[in-house]
Amino acid sequence: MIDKPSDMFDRDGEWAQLSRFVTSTFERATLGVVSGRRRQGKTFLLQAMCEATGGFYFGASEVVPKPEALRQLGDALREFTGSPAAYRFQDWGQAIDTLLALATDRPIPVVLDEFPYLARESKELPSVIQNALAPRRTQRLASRARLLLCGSSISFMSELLAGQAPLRGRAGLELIVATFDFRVAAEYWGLRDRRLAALVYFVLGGTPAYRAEQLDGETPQRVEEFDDWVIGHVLNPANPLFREVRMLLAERSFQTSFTTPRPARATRSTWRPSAPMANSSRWAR
Amino acid sequence: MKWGETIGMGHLARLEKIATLRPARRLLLFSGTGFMPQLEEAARRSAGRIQLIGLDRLYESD
Repeated sequence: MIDKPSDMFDRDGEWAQLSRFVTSTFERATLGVVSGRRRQGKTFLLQAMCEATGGFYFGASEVVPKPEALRQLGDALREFTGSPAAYRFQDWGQAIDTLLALATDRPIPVVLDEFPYLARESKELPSVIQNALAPRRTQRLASRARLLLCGSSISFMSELLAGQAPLRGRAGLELIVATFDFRVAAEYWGLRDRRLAALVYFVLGGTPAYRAEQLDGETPQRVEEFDDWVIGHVLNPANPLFREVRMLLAERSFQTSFTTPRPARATRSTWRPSAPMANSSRWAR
Repeated sequence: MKWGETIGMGHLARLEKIATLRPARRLLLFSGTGFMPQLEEAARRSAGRIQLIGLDRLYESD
């Protein structure tokens, strides 16, 4: 079991699962899937694991065309290995094999964070990974990589492994990083007054990033301060929390649009997108 | 379930009435403020049928 970093609150269960997966002595490359809503600390968890074990972390920043995504991955790999030569990938097959080759003598995590961004522009990616991890393939048997695909869209991530999907039955880990429940949240917020803890939970729920990012650590300490705190922070148009609900809903519909089956190429000209916002850039091309 | 009201026998009576329509093994009453002494007494004598759950119990018990 790898020691949990001291700046990580709770998440003992998640850390233990990840740790077990990453250090497993299984003598071949393995696959894991990590999902969870935004701002729950997935990336924090994965980066901490990579730091602790010398693993490779790549986070796709947004949806970019495939050649650009492969170039960004190449840059990250070059930084990781310190190789003088650049990595130039023609396709995902080469890229995945290079990732597998990072771990030949010992198991290390190899993380592709924000995987849905990558898969959105490269529909073949799940099949490519399936082929790369075919049971008797030499590159798989030679590798100890613990390949971790991560994403915020829980539906997208679980569909990766479901039904007829190429990666079905391939994953040795399927971890969901959940929001804190009300008791853990109270501890995280440092609220001893039960009434205050419940009030704050009613407003913010158990999303840890709100304290650190949106509120700069400003939380009410006494129940008498609660009303002013709500007015000053949550209902303050200059605070990102003010628009958070709308953002969450928008994110949700954006993510749903990932997983809605698209019509086949031949029928595109007659098909009218029903969600113009999320899809407009695709259809403009 | 009331957040700002102290729960008393009236709330229990209402729940008991509902329980005659849809039989229940246990009656759970939640409050953010607390419970009337009479109701607490009734809960003590109910052999576990009436459960009072205030904030302390919500946050601390197993």
